[in-house]
Amino acid sequence: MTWSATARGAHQPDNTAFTQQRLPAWHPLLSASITLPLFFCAGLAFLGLGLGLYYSSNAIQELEYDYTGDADEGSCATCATEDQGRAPPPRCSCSWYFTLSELFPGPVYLYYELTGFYQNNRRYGVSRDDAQLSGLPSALHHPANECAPYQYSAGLPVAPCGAVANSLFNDTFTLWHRRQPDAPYVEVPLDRSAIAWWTDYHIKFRNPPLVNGSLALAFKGTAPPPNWPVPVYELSSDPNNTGFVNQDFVVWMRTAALPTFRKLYARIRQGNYSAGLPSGAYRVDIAYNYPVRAFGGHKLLVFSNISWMGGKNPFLGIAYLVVGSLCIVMGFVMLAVYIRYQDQDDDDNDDE
Amino acid sequence: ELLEVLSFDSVRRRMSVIVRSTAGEIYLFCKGADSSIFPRVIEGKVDQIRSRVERNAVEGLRTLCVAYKRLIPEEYEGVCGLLQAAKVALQDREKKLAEAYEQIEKDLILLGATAVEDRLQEKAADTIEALQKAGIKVWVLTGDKMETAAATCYACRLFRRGTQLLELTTKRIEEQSLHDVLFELSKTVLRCSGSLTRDHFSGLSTDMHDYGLIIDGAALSLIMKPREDGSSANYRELFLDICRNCSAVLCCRMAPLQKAQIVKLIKFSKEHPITLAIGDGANDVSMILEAHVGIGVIGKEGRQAARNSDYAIPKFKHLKKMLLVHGHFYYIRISELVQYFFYKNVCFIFPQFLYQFFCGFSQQTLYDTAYLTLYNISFTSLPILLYSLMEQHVGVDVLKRDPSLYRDIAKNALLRWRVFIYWTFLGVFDALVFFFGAYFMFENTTVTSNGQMFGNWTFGTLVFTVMVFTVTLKLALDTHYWTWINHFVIWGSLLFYVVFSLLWGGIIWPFLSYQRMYYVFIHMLSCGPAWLGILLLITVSLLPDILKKVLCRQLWPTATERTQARNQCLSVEQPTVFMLSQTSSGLSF
Repeated sequence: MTWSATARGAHQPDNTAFTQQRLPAWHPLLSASITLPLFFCAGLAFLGLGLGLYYSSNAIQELEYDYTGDADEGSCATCATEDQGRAPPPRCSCSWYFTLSELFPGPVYLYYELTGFYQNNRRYGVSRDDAQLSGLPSALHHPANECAPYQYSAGLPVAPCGAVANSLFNDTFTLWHRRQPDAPYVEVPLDRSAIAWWTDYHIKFRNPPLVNGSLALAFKGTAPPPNWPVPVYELSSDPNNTGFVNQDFVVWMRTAALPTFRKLYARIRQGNYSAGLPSGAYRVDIAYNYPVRAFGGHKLLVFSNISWMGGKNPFLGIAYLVVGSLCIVMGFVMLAVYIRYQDQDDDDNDDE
Repeated sequence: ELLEVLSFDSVRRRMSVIVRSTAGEIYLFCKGADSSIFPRVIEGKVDQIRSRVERNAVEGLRTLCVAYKRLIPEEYEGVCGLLQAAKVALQDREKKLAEAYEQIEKDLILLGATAVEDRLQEKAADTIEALQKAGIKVWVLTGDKMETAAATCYACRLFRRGTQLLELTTKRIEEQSLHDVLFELSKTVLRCSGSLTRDHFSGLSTDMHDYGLIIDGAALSLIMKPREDGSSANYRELFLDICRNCSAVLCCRMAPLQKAQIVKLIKFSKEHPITLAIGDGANDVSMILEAHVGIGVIGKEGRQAARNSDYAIPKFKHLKKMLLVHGHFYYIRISELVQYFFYKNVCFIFPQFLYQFFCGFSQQTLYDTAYLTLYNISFTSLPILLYSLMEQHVGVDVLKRDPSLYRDIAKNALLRWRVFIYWTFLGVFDALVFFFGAYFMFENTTVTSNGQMFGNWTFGTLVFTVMVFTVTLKLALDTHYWTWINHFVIWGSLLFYVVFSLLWGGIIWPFLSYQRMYYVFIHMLSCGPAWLGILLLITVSLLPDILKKVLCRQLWPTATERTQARNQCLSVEQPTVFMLSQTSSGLSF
């Protein structure tokens, strides 16, 4: 068989731009003339952003108090030393007194913070049943296996099942304020609504269908989790905020990313306090239920106000400032190198 | 009438036929290489023909000598018997045949010599020059005589006018011992090694110290012969040392097995170079099989070489485009593919690893399982796939015009430890930026404007989003050849990621047993700091690479980068003067 250079064989590929890789293309080059102005612009923009973010974060005020009772100071120390090993631990309440010398601008947000609590532990995080929490009656009576050992309690299925639900945070706080030292304490209204994601308590979490108009009957045949003092349909007296859609419950079920985390407890924005917390003496009454000392954790209470960029976190501002200045410095370095080697390049080009 | 054929073999380098003429006389005609015919000749104008043959060889013609002898019928009977016995021998048939041939082909009368002009293939000289400029060492291994081969090498510009030829031939070895010859040669080449720019195993030298070595098969077998005193290793080392400093080596009078032997010798020498063997005849098959890459030229001498090769090309000149263009492109593409794959997976897994320190080492995944599964399949696979199919960092004609660009990738330059460590360092740096950037942003406070807190899935999704965008933009920075396909896959992959995330988290999928990702992505994008954080983290991750690229291009540009920067002006390729056609078996590395 003779091989001919001119005859088009059956296996010869097509001579199109695509198959022969001759497609029209753009050849960008990361040269100094493009990157230098880019670096300077980016540096300036980042510096501006960084300054804005930093000042915005600096303007936010935060007030926090560790009420675990470790250091034997404050009234919560007595609660701390009581028999915390029992579950549920004995009821105890303590108070935190503080004064504000000037207005704490609002709206003020109240958080509770836990440290050393690994809500992101894998075994803990999978111990829940989202089907049950979405209100499916079949799942209500047959909780998922991942919930074990909080799946069945005394022969009855647990609703809501799982370790995440079982470890629900159950400290409660009330805030009292008095303007003058001899005036009585007035309760500050805490707005406990809309503290969870809207999609969570409207779509993801639903109560099982009511039986004869009663939520308690809907949960008939189930047991509360072992560590809960009350069953799930009695979490709140407000019928719109009880059962699986209880806001505190939903907030707790959103597992936190890191072992030190905060969760929203309430907003202070009603009535006289909509502009913020005025100056005066304050008292927070804490129902100390949650046993964190067993694992060396801490409980904190945090008052904070929020800006468009969230809470007090200087990181973003500082990071932008640093990166912006780095960009500008590197821009100058590259400019110097470019100018110096530009002369050398010109000489080279002339020699060629 | 043809009676017998004593077939050709490459060891004795001749063949004979026994014929009966119309008058009934029996003749034996023998033709072969002059070195194998002349010793058997007893009559004829030997000296005249010998000088004529030498003159022809110097001119580059391939010579053959022809001789004959008359056989009387009894002699013929004896010859027949010998051949028959040898042909049907059950053991050592080759040896018995060789002995038989040896006995039959003697006492010949010299008839004359033939000379054939074996023309060089078109553009062979251009190809060899391009290969040498590219830093590839070209060796020619041929079965021809020394004079013929040397003339061919001058013709194809393997030896230039300024090349000083060193001979390691049988003639010189007869005069001095092998040891002395080797020593002398090595002193000659090594004397000038300091002045050459040290570039191991490259044929570069623009100054006059340009050496070419000629060695023939007998000398090579002397060097390779195993000796009792162990000095053969020294001879081999000495020989390789000499070869290293020569810009071209010509091995003539090589038997096919010797060609393979020399390839093996070089393959296992100190630097372990990559060898390529190209040939067109059946005598090249062993060397093609031995070398790392064997190329067969589909030529007039049959398709044995092509059948045994890794690649078959129709003409020798195609080797130039094959190595300098296609080879260069494939190397760039493959090395980027390998490095990029390791890099993007380091970026992917290292944040997961870091997260373990913050989740109590409980093997909690940072990202949702859908992201874990689809990262390598859907979000980051197409861009690099299309890059490794389409990338052309410089144009095809530039590569053909400037073979010295090939030196930028010599010695596996892009897959060395140093480059790999740079990529790994970049991956680790990027992973640290992603993870700790998100960590410090999320630490403890809310980032939404309504005070609500994010959970661990939002944290993971933020890290993942930054990561997907960074690794894709890194590839975009590395791409030099943007066709519509590149735009489509790169921006398309990013778009696909966003759309997938929106869909995955936007619907309560009934088949899922968990709904942890519901609304996570959308909620993350609804807060300002998340956008600012993503922008910042992507910038910080890409910054070192951009800096390195720009500074290295400015301060230490490689030849390729210089060519990229120069204005691309179209130039017509110089037509070469050679229109001859022939193949020369060559080995290059």
